[in-house]
Amino acid sequence: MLRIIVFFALLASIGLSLISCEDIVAFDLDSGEPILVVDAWLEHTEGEQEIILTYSQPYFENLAPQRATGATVKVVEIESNTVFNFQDPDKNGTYTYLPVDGEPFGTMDSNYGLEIILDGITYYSLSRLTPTAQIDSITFEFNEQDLAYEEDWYYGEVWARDLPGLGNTYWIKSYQNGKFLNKPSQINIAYDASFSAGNQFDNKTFIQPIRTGITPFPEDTPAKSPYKKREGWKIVKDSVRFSTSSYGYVKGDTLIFNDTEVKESPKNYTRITGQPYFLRADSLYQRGDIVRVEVHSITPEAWFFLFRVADETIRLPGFAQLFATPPADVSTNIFTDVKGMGVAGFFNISDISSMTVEVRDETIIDLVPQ
Amino acid sequence: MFCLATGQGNSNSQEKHTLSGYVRDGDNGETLIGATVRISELNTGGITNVYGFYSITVPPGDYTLIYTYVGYESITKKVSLAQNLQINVELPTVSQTLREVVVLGKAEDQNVESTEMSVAELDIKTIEKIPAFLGEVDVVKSLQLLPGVSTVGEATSGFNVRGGGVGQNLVLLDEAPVYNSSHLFGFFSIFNPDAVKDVKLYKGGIPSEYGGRLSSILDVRMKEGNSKRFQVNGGIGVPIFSRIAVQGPIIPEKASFIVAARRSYVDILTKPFWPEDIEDAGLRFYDVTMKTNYNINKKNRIYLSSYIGRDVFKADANQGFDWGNKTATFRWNHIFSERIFSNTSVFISDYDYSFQVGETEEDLFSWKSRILTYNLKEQINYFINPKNELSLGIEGIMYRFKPAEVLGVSVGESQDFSLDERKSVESAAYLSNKHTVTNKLSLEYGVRVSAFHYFGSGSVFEFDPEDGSGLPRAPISQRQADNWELIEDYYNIEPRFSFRYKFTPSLSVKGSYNRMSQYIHLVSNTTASLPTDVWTPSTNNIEPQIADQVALGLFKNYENNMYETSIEIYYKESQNQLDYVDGAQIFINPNLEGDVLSGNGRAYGAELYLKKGKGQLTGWISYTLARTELQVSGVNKGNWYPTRFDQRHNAKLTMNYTLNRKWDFSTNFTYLTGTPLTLPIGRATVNAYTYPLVGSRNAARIPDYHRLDISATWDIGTHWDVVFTIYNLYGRRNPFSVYFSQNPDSFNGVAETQATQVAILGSVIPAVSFNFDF
Repeated sequence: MLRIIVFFALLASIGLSLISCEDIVAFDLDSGEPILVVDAWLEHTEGEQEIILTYSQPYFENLAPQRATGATVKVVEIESNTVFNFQDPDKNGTYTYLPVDGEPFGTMDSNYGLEIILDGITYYSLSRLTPTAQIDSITFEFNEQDLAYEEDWYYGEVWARDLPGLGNTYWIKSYQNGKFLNKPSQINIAYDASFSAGNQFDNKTFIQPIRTGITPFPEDTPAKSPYKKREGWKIVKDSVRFSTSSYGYVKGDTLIFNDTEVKESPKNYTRITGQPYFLRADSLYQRGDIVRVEVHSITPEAWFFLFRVADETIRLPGFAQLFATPPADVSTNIFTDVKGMGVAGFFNISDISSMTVEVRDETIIDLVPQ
Repeated sequence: MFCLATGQGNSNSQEKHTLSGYVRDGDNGETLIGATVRISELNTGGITNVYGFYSITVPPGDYTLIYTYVGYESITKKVSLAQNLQINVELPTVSQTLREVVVLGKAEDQNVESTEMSVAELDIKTIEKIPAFLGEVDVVKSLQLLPGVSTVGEATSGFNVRGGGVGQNLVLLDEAPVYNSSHLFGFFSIFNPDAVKDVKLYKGGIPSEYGGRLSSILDVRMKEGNSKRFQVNGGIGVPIFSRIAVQGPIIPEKASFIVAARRSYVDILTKPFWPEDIEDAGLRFYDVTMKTNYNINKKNRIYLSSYIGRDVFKADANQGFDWGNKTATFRWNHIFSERIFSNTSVFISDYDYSFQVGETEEDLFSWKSRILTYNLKEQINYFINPKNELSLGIEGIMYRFKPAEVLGVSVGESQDFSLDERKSVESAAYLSNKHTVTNKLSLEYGVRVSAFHYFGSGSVFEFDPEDGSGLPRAPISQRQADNWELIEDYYNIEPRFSFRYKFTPSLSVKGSYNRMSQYIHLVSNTTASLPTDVWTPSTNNIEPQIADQVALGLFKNYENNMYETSIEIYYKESQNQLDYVDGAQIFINPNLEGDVLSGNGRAYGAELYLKKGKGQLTGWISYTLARTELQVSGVNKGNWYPTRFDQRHNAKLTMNYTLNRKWDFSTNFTYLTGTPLTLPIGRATVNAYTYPLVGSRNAARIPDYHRLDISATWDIGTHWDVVFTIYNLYGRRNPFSVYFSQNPDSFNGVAETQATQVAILGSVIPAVSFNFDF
C-alpha cells in the first residue's frame, strides 16, 4: 500500500508541487544514549556469514556509525542444537562465520536463535529459515524519453511466482553493475505476491509494481526542482576518467561533476561504449548494464521491519507531506532482559534465489510474455 | 423538569391565543433564520426557527409587534389579538445608502440575550467580505477565523474544533451529512457561497437535536431560491474556477428554485502545454447545488435539495483517482397548529472514492470505497408559551460501509480482495426545552438517547483488547456473521444543558454541559485528513467515542451593541479516542481493527472575542489559548502527548472598511503556534539503510505560522463587482511540516541525514475575480 500512497502523492504533486516549497533547516535535536544496533541478515549460501554490531549515533552525525567490538556472538540452530560461533578477528565489529565444506549455511525450515553478549548484557533473538520463490526470468522494456525521463531507457521486470500458502514474505534486492540499489525508496518487499497481509494475493506472479521495483527510477531521488529530474542522465565525456564512485548532475546547461563545474552543453557528453562507467551507480537501465536480482525469503516480522524502515526513511517531499505519518520507532526482534535498555536492528535468515542478466536484445521485450 | 415546564403552560387557566407565521426577505422571498419578533407591551417575543417560522402564545389584547433582523428594516404591526393569528411578514432590506455592514449575529444583542453559547455563526454577506485564497469565498476557511476553530495547515481537508479531530465534526448540508467537505484536498470547501444561506457551527452547548460527533456540528443551510424574480449571479475567478447560480420563481409566491454550479478549469488552461502522452490526464473539480421548494398551503411546505460534487485527478485514461459527495434531502414542514411546527426530513448521502493504477487490463489495481447513508428524521417544535419551547424528535440513520472493492490483476491473473460490507444503524430520540425562567435567567435542557447496532454479514474478528504492545495485533478468533446478524450494540444517554443569566441588558454569563457520543470513526494516521480516509463503524473491537464538555462564558456588549465581547473557557474529556499502531495499514486491511488503538483525550482552553459590528469599519479579533492531548496505551510509552492539531496560541484579526459605495477593503491576519512535531533522537544503520530512532511523540513544534491577506472590492455599477485579493501579502514560507530524511544526493555508504521544512504555499498569491448579479 505504501507504493500506492507514493503514487497517489506523486500524482497530487503534479498539480501542486509548483506552489509548495522546501528549505533545509537546522534543528536542535537531543540525542539519546547510544544503543546497540544489530545487523544480522544471514543467508542460506556457502558464503561467509556476517553480523555487524554498531552503536546508534546522533541523528545529524553524518559519519559511519561506531562499531561495537568485544562481543560474544553466536547463532544456534534450535532443532539440531548446533552452535555457530561468529568471530571478529579484525576487531572492527564485523562478526563472521564461514560455513564448512562449502555447504550452505542453515537447514531449511529450521529455527535459529541469536545470542550476543556485550558489556555484560545479553541480547537475543529468534528467526526461521524458509524457502524462497524462484526467479523465472528478468526482462527489460524500452521506454522512449518523455517529460519525466530525458533520454531513452529501459525498465526491468522480474518474473517470479509466490510460493503456495499465505504468509510468505520476500525481499527483492537488485544490483546494477554490482552496486546494490540501496536507497530507501528502492526497498522492494512482497507479502505473498502483493503489498500486504490483507491482500491475500496467494501463489500468483508478483504484482506489477513489485516486478518493476527492480528498476532504478529517477523518482527514487525525489525531485525538488526540475533540474534534479535530469540526474538520471548518463553523460560521460570520452576524455574524462571516472571511478565507479563518481557522480554528476545537470543544472541548466552545466554538468556538475564531483562539484567541478564543466561549463559545456550536456549534449556534448556521450557514453563510452562497452565500458561500465557511470555517473551514478543507479542511473536508468541502459543497454549493456548487468542486472542482478535476488529474491530473499524473510520472516513476516522481517517484512514488517523493512516496511517500517521504508516508512520512516521515505519522507515524501513538498505537498506530499500531507500524506506523511508521524515518525515512530522502527520495530526490532532483538530483545534484552535489562529493563530500559534500548536496542535496535534485526535478525533474519534468508533462502535466496538469484539471476543475473545483461540488458541486451535477448532480454529486451516490448510485450508482456504469455 | 419537562413535566414542570409543560405544567406551567397548562396551569395558567387564562385563555390564550397564538401569533405565528413566517418572516421572509422582502427582496427575494428567502425565509429568515433567527429573526426577532417582539411584543413591545409584554416585553416578550420569539425568534424564527431554521425554516423562518415563529410562534408566540399570549393572552388576548392589542399589541404592537416589532419584527427585526440585522441588515433589514424593522416592521411594526399593530394587532388586536382575539383569536389565533398567522402573520407572515417580509422585511425590506436596508436601502443601499443606509446599508451597514453586517458582521455576525441575527439580533444585535443576540450574543448576550440568547441561551446559546460556543456558537460560531457567519452570515454569507460577511463571508463574502473576507479576503479569500484565490479570491474564492469559502465558508469553512472563514469559520477558521473564529475562536476555537483551527486547521493543521493549508490544503488540509476539514477543520478542528476545540481540540477535536477532523472526523469529529458533523458537517450537514441541508441536514444531509457530508463526509468530505473539501475540494482539491483542502484548498476549497464544497459549499458554493451562491447557494448558502446560513452557516452555524456549534462548538459546545450542543442542542439535543444534534448528535453523532464529538466536537462540533456545522449546520449549513441552502437558499431556497428567489421567489420574486429570476436572478442569475456568479463569478469568474482567475485562475482557478468559475461559478454560476440561477434562481427564480416556478409558481410565483408558491414555488421557487436555485441551481448553482462551479467548475475548476486549471486543466483546460494548461492543456496546450501538456505532452501528447498525458493528454487524458486531468485535474479538476466541480459541484452542483440544487434546491426547490413548494408552498402547498398555509400549513404545508416541501423542500427538495441536492448536492453533487466531484474531484478528479487522472494521470492518463486508465490511472488516477477521484472522489465526491452526493446528497439529497427531502423535507416537509407541517404546521399541526399555530403552536406545533413539524419537520420531517428524509435524506441520502453517498460518499465514494476510487483509485486505479495499471497501464493495461493485464496489470491493474483498482480500488473503490463508499459510504452510503440513509436517514429519516422527525422533529416537532412545540411553542408552549413564551417561556417554554419544546423540541422533540427521533432520528434513524442506516450506514452501509463498503471500505474496499478491490481488484488486482497481475499478468492477466486477477484477484478480488474486497473487504466485507458493513452495515449499521444509528438511532436517537431527543427532547429539549428552551425555558425562560425569568427575564434574567433562561435555560435549555434536554437529553438525547442514542443507540448503535452493528450488523453482519462478513468476517467478525476478535482482538485482544489488553494487548498494549503498540504492534499490529492478529485476531484471536474469527467467525462468519450472517446477513443482518447483530454483532454488537451500544447505547448512550447524552444529557445537554445550558443556561444564561443576564446581569444587565448588555452583560450575561452562560454555561453549558454536554455529552456527545460518536459511533462512526474517521481512520487516518496521516498529517492531514485525506479524501481517501476510511470511515469505520463502531464494532465489537472499536467502541464508540464519548466526550463530556463543560463551558462557561461571559458576554458583554458596549455602546448600544456596537462592540460585542465574550470570553469562554471550556474543558473536554473524551474516551475511546483512536490512534494507530506504528506502521498501521489503514487501507484494504481486513484486520484494520487490530491496527487501531484506543485511548483517552482531554482538551481545554479559553476563547476571547471582540467584534465591532456596526459602522464603516467592522471586524473582529479572536484569540484562543488551548491545549489538546491524548493518552493511548502503546503510543508514546503510554504517556500523554499533544495531538497533531494542538495549537497553543491562535489569534486572528479580520477587518472590513467601507470607503464609499464603490470601494470596500478587507484584511485578515492570522497567527498560530507551530503544530507539534516528533523528533528523531538518533539514527541506526541496518542493511545499509539508515533509519531514525524516534523520541517522544509530538514533543517539539514547527515554527509559528503567520499570514496577512488583503482584498479590495470595486463595485462597478449595479451588476458587476471586481474583487482583488492578495493572499499571504508578505510571502512568508509558512511551515506545514518539518521532516527528517536522507539527503537523496548522499551516496557511498554513509547516509547524510537532514531536516527539511515544507511550506505548502510559500509565496504571495494574487487573484482577481469578477462577480455578477442580474
